[in-house]
Amino acid sequence: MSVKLVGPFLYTSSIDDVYRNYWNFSKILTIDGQQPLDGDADSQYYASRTMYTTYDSGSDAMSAIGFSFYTEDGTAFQPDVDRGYLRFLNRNLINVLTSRPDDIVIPLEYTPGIQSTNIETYLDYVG
Amino acid sequence: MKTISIPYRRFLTNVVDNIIDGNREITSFDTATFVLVASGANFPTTGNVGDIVFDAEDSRQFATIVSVDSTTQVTLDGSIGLASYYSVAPAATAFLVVTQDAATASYWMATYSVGDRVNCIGAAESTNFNLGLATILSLDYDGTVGSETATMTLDLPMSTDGEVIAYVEGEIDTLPVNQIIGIEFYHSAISFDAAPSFYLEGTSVGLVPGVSNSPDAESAAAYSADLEKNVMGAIQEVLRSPWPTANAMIKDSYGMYFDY
Repeated sequence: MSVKLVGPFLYTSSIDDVYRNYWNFSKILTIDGQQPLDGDADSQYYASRTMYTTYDSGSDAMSAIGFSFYTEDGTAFQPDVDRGYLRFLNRNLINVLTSRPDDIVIPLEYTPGIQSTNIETYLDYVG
Repeated sequence: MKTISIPYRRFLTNVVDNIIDGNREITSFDTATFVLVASGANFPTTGNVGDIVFDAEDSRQFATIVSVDSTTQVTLDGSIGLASYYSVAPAATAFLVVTQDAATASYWMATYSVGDRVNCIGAAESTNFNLGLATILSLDYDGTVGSETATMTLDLPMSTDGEVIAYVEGEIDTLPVNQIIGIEFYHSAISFDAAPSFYLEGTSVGLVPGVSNSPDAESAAAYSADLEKNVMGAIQEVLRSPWPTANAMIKDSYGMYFDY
């Protein structure tokens, strides 16, 4: 299970740039949120591909896939109110873990009640 | 290691220019009457009856001039489609790629074969390469001392006044599929650009050329959608293969390269 591409994650920016991204969820270890500096509810999450402990040991750089949930017009973050984004990301991670071996592209599943489907995704590095 | 691939590009150098009028903008072309009008043209001096006219971005569509109607208008014997740009070449040279020097001629004879493919740079409207992909029908050598030349004869007309690219069968440029973390397909509704990127561990790789300055946002979106289908198709094909060194070529990827 070296490559399981989840997507497409759709993101339309405030200037109408359109992104359709697929991300390899086969090596995701943890998914967690990041509290915005303004104290609002979470609107950014990370699917980490390397454990912090591994990074701390100096053996590797940490890489993660970032998810920022935006309003429909792409001008501002859309805050999470009931951990819906976490459920959404975990649902799709579970879909990968329970997929058949010959399933390569795992269609994105939007969980009921998710506050935003305009999701900017990106690769993030630490180290 | 499983890989996806694109054809490996070899740029042909020291090539004789075969073009009379290259990459000119069309004012109008009637696909029923085959009348071509170009405001900047001067057909009596740059094109004559019998010359080959082709779509500069897709030379699968070509025709012959049957009459020169005015300094800005010619009539063709068939359609070159709904082209935006055209090129004109004499019938004697439109389908040929010819070397300029003996060393290049020897190199071509040792490197290329009948069946290899040839492409040229287009007019940079919707893509910057010619969508027509020619096949080498014959490769001939003239060994006359002092004027040694190699000549490729193609099945499609090609502009040789700019970059000319050859593809040798079996030569590919690869990307390791197992190292892919993510793939991004982007298109702009403002600038009408479209381009994909691959994210690998420690680096990102662009697949270029994408398109820039498409006629409209819909064209850019359609191009991006086709490329997404072709890239994802190649990835799925190679990962489902039982062979550990399987490779799949991205469909319609002639003219492209991986930009690290």
